[in-house]
Amino acid sequence: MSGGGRDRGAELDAEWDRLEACYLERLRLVAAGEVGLADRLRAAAWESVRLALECPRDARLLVVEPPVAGRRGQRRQRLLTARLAAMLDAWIAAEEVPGASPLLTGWIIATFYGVFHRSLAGGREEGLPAEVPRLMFLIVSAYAGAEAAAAELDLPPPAWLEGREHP
Amino acid sequence: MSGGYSGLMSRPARAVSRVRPGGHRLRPEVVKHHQRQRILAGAAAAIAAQGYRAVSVADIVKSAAIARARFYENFGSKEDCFLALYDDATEAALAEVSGACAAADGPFPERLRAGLKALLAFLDADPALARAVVVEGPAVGPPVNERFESLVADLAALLRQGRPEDTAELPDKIEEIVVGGIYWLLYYALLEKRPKRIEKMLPQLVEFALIPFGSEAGAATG
Repeated sequence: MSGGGRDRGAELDAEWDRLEACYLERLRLVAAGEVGLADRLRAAAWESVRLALECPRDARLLVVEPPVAGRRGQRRQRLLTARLAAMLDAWIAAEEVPGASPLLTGWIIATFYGVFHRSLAGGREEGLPAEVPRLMFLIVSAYAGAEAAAAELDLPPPAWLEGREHP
Repeated sequence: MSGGYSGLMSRPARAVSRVRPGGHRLRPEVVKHHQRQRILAGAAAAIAAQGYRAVSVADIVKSAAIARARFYENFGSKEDCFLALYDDATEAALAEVSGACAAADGPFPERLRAGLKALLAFLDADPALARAVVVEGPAVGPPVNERFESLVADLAALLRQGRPEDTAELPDKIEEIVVGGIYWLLYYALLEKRPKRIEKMLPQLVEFALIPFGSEAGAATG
């Protein structure tokens, strides 16, 4: 983590702080424009995809680098996870989802992380748009059932993706 | 739980007794195998304790209580050693899971439960190995990422081949997403060391894995 007399660890922490704050603020902004839980989650998913496509280096720093960076990175990962969990808990509480498992927040984070980590670690971020509908299908199924979740598979991607080439 | 590798890896490296140099009639390949297993057990313990990035070959050698020269007779580098550990562990885990699924009686949810139970038992049998592979694996980068893709594909195939015929048409590759989710749930549990016994996660992992298959499949697990 150190090199040339610089405290690379401190530099990395500062960069992570900046990225995390920016990312979480973007998620809050896009979700604020939505009403239901599925709409908020979908908006968050597409905003995460936008980050991955437009700033892959930053996306990798948030998602792929923490596990690589040893104990410091794992600590950052815990921090980001805790902040995301607090945000999701608030969205779920606002929805009053009947019968939602108390584990739902953890499931959402693990599932999202799994999809984004695999894509970014493999340099396959261009494939992320195709993942969002099935990701949303799984998440919505978890609290609303497969029938309600099926609608996620037919929703069009956001307007900003149009005209952008992707698999 | 099978013996062999799992049994060996469940003991601290120092408990894997040294083969007395010379004066024995063991075949060279047996000695080499024994040394290799000793090094891998030492690597798992050292990496679990210190993290992959922080650990050195010297740490592994010390943990394995083996001469440095013996390490380099078996592996070219720390990464080489870790990849061997990763390959052995994932192969063994996959064998446990697929064996348990095949042996289980009953409908899909029961077979899925049996497979997950076998996986959690495998992880609990050797906490150092579990932490080294699951938590520290991503720290290695591309060589492990490629292996992880292969593991996800194998586990997703198990999930796919066993699923009920009467389930509604599911999105393509939903099983890969489920497997990925299970991995990261285990990752966070091992990272936080909560619960201490991973087997306690069985009910929630079964519930999670059955999400795409609807409430009827979930209800069948009782």
